[in-house]
Amino acid sequence: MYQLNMAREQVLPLEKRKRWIRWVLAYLIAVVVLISAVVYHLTVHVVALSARSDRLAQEELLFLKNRPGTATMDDSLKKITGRKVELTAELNSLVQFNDAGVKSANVVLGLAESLPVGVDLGRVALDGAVGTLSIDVYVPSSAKMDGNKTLPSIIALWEKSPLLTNQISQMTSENSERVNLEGQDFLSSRFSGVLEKGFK
Amino acid sequence: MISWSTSDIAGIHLGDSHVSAVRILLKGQKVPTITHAGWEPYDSGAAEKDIAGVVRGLWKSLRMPTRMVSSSLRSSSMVMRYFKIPVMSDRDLKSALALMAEEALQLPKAKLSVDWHIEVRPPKKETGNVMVEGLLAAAPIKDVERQLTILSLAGLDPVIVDIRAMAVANLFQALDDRAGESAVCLVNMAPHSADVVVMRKLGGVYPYTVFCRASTWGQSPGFLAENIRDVLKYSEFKLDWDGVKRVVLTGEVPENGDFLESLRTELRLPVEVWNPINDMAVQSQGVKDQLAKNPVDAAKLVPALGLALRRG
Repeated sequence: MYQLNMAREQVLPLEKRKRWIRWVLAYLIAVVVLISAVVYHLTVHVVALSARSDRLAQEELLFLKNRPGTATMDDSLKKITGRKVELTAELNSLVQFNDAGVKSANVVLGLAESLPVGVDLGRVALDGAVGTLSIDVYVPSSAKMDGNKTLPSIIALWEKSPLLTNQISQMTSENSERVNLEGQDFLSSRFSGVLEKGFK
Repeated sequence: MISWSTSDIAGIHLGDSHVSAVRILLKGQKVPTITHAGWEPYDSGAAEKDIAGVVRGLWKSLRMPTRMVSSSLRSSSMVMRYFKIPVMSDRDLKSALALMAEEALQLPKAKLSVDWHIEVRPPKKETGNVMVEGLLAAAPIKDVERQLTILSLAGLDPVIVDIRAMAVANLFQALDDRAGESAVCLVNMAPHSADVVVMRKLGGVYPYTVFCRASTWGQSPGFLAENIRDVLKYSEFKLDWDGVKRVVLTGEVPENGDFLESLRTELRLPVEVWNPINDMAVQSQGVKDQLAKNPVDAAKLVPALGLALRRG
């Protein structure tokens, strides 16, 4: 085909248009890719920030929990459950966190001094839906303590908290069972109470 | 108005008495398919805005979906020269052809619009200087600008300003099955002019435009035959091309039977009439009916058909 064009200098010839269109398309594709990359990067960054924020929160919680005596139960429960929990100062002062899940925490009960016999280990379990607080008390069997003496003291302490109802399900040494924890024998008993105003 | 589609181009021809426009589909078609076709009478000497008004009206009536157009240059001063010169650098070739155009039109380079086509031939062992040959076209730049102004005023986007003779040659090459078999003399007839195009079998085209001395070609077949004969002689003896084996008339060929017979007698060659529309498909029944109803007017479309084939 003879492709004469007497206006080659005056008009934008097809070849140039095709070239322009290719450039425009390439430019548009590059812009789309760039925008996608920025959006992807921002999304990843936001997710990472969110994850980091969660991680920091967890780390803060761990930090609090790993410093026995410094975290009140109120603060810690708030961290764990995300809800405001009001507990009495008496109960707070008795509980020191050393490990935690979202709805449960292993605790070392600071009851030893206030009780006739020592209580070494305990566990607080929180049921956010029901608002139940339970404490498993482990009494070293080698301590030759009298469970009947120990448990009423704990019960009395437990009952001192005005925020807890008296729905204590297990409170006698008859309910205790022997368990082996870290190579030592313990007697375990569970105390459960429903938090009266606990979870709002 | 700039169009961004580079494949939807309509052909528009500003002829002696009519403006004709055609849109052709090429992609995915076995044969070129006419989708839109129409023509409108106009005064070729009218002011630019008046001609633009006619073009705009035609475009509207045809509901032409594209505004990108390939048009033919209407210029009485245009010259076409077949050149054969020693091989040289592109820069030197450009200068040489510009000089040739200046000599032909007696106008300075700044007032000229020049373009050329180089014949690509398979390499062969030649003795002496290796030559490059092709076709040079030159016209006053004001004629090109006028054409562009008219089209722009009509709201169109011109991308190609071709030459009528070359548009018809392209059409013939695209549609005629026997186009490459032998040398052909293609004659595109308009009311007051005719493009005589010798198409060489091995590739090469020599166009020449003849202007009618009588009021119509039907009244002066002898003058046309004489000019055709001169063009054939030039191609045969000056350009050293093969002799033409047939003469093909197209466009607005006079209907009187004597005209063809006179040409055959004077040229002593087979003369046939070719209607390119017969070798094309027509998409819509409306256009088909329009073409069938006005076969004489439909012949005005020939240059526009060739222009509509251009895609580059």
